[in-house]
Amino acid sequence: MISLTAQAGDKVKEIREAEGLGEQGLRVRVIGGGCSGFTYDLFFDDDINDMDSMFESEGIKLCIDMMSLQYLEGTEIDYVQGLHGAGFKFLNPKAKATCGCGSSFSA
Amino acid sequence: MASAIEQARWIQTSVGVRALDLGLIRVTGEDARVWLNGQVTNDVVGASDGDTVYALCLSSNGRILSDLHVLVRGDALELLVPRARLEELSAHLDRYIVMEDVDLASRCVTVISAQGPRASELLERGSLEGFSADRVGWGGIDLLEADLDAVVARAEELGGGSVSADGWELARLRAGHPAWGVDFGAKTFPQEAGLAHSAVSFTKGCYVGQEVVCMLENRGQLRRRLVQLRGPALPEAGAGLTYEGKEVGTVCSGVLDPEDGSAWVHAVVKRIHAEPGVELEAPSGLVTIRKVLGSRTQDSAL
Repeated sequence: MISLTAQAGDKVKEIREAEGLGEQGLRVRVIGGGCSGFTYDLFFDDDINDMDSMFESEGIKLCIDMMSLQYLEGTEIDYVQGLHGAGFKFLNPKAKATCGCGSSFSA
Repeated sequence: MASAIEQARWIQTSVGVRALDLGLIRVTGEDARVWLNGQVTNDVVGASDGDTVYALCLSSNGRILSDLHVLVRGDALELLVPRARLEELSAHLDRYIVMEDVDLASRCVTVISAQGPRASELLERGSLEGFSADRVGWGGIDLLEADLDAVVARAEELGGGSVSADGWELARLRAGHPAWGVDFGAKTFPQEAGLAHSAVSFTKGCYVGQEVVCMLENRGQLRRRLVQLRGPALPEAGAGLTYEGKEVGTVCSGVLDPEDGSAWVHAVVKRIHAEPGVELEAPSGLVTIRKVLGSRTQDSAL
């Protein structure tokens, strides 16, 4: 199960509306590489296939491929704003370590 | 067979040829370049067909798993690695393929390596495929699918010839060129081995281990450096080096130069003592730091 916080859900809807993407879902995936070994990736996507798992959170459809899901199970995606900047933050129980900016993790 | 002195001289002034048993990992797929760029320290996205990129593969805490030469061959990227690292490195890289369109295929290979300032002249008559690969500090190329005897014959026409392990090592230590497995390894950061400026891009995107490497480069103080030393006798690899009675370093590799009987030594030394001219005590006697490897302020000429 992957979920969004209310702040993250609002931000996704805001971006989606600004880009005129209608009700497109959000693909969440893991890419090999990056400071700690794996990197989170988020983008709007309506190309769903049989190997994807679908979730819904805060009114947003989330789509994750089966390989990424093994690294993301239980993850909550938040959106934070502060003096150090703003962005989506992944709270991932499977991550052993995270790089300083939070975009990369080891598992 | 020519002496080690003559062989080293070939490498330093002409071309010395030696067969190397290496490992090769072939990376293919639509995502190969972008994916590999996130795995190694140097920039492979900007490389063109026929280029070689020298890079390091690091652990997530920034320490060197292996050095490697990335050969750009059409749509494929071929990584030449120390044979002893092939299995572990293949497993390490495979672990970081998630859903990317990337395939890895690994095998053992024998590469004909031609080292020296005239190595590229071996390619002038055509029919040989060579990739830039400086393996001992004097410039050189690696030749794939070449016949050793034929390459040696060409090298002899250029005033060079076949080189043994002894001649190779003498040339390497004279140049102050670090070698994986003897001078640096799994406990070494790139900057400690003097490899930051030859094997690391500080302007490309993220790669495994990048955060630590960048922090060391921009903020941190290295604790130790790899240095080249000279002395009248050869200390054993693993021997401790002391300064005013306190241990400050460890010998990594060394060779006695048959030309004058003195020793060329590589050692890891505490940063505070890693300066040219500093004298350290080895079990074999005094050794003097000649240069810090990879330091941009050093004059590397012999």
